[in-house]
Amino acid sequence: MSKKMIVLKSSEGVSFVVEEAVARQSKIISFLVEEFPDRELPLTNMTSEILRKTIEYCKKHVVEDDGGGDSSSSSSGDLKEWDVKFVAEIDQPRLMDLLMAANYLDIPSLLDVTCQKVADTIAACNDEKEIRATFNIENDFTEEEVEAIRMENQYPI
Amino acid sequence: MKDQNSLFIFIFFISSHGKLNRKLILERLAVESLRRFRSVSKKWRSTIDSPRFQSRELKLRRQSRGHDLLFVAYYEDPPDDVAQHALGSSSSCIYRTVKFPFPNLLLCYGSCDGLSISTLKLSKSSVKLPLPMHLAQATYGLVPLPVAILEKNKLYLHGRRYLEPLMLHDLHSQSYELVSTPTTPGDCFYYFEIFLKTNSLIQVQGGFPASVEAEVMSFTRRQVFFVLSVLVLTMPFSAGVTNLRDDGQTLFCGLDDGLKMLISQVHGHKCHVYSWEPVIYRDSVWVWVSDISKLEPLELDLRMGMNA
Repeated sequence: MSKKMIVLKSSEGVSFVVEEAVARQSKIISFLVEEFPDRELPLTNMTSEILRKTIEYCKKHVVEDDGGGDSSSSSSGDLKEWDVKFVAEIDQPRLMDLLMAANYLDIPSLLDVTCQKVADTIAACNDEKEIRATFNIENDFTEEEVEAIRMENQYPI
Repeated sequence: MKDQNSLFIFIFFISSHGKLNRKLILERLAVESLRRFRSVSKKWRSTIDSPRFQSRELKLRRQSRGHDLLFVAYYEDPPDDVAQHALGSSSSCIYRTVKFPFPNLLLCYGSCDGLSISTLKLSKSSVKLPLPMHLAQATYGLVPLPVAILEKNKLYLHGRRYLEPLMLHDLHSQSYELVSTPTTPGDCFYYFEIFLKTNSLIQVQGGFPASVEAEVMSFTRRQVFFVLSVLVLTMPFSAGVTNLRDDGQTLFCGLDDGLKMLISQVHGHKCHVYSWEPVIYRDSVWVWVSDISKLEPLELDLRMGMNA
């Protein structure tokens, strides 16, 4: 029995053919599939690279309902380990893109692991300068404001 | 049949609304990290400082820890023959007031663990044990004040003055153990006193080895971090301290789980409950404060027990 396939198109116009069950982990795609059946879905703000990563994640996490269960045999412990490895291999800018994608496509579990990874990265930073450098954030405080915050915080330096 | 245009319009719509919520990431961070990283950028600061974020943060922490229960002393000023106590919970569902037929001022020390209750009666010059709830009849003429509930059933007892010895009282075996006898005020292991001078100042005194004794904290904003820079708490600190402020309006008590304390401000018969969450950071204690009564309708009606 052949599974229903749907086509997702990245911002570069590259088409990805995925099983519907895989794609439906995104609540947005799930909705689109119902509203616009048998259409190619253009995901205009996702690059092919990020889309590929997202699909990789969804393939790993797909839950088979038909009892066949060949691709979902991994235990939850294995899956967690896989998740950790999955986000660890992604560099910082791409991790942010993936997080945005998870947010945009509404994939709660992927959003959870990427957010946690980013939070861990932040927590590992020694000071605000390191965070700004890591996440490419502009320092929009004046010297006086920084001093004011320091006074408010007053933690021993 | 919907046409291709509506699909594009819809996708455009959701992509323009797929804005990332900074809170999703920040709420996973520990309080001490949040404090440090307020200075990353204005957006970060405004996110961390926003009452909504702080409330949510507190709620998440509470959910992971379960409900808290507290027992606070409440008495009228001038004190009635009957001291009144409020039993509260941060879950907002378990609370009531109870009365004890003890004359004079009562200091009440509550523990979260099964709400075991210890009371001490204060007279003018000394502290005496009343009929005990949990504390045994004292073998001492002058009974020291519990300053901290160390762990289950263990109270650190200290005298009213700095130079009185510190003892450990075991509620189970009802035994006393001398912990230390200070020779100078600086040797005092632990002494904790709080005054509410005005609505905006809380003074905290702590006597620790080689530490200063007083620190004034600002209490001008409702949801704000405080620093108690001189307090170096020895872990595990599990205080069940209850104090009534000079103004007769404010209660302060500590919960023995999760290093949490609660301040309640009594306005009329309503109680605003602020939750404190001290955080040990480097050599200081920081306090995460949030007004619980703003999160959910937690209003202790202190009149409840009067008619019962």
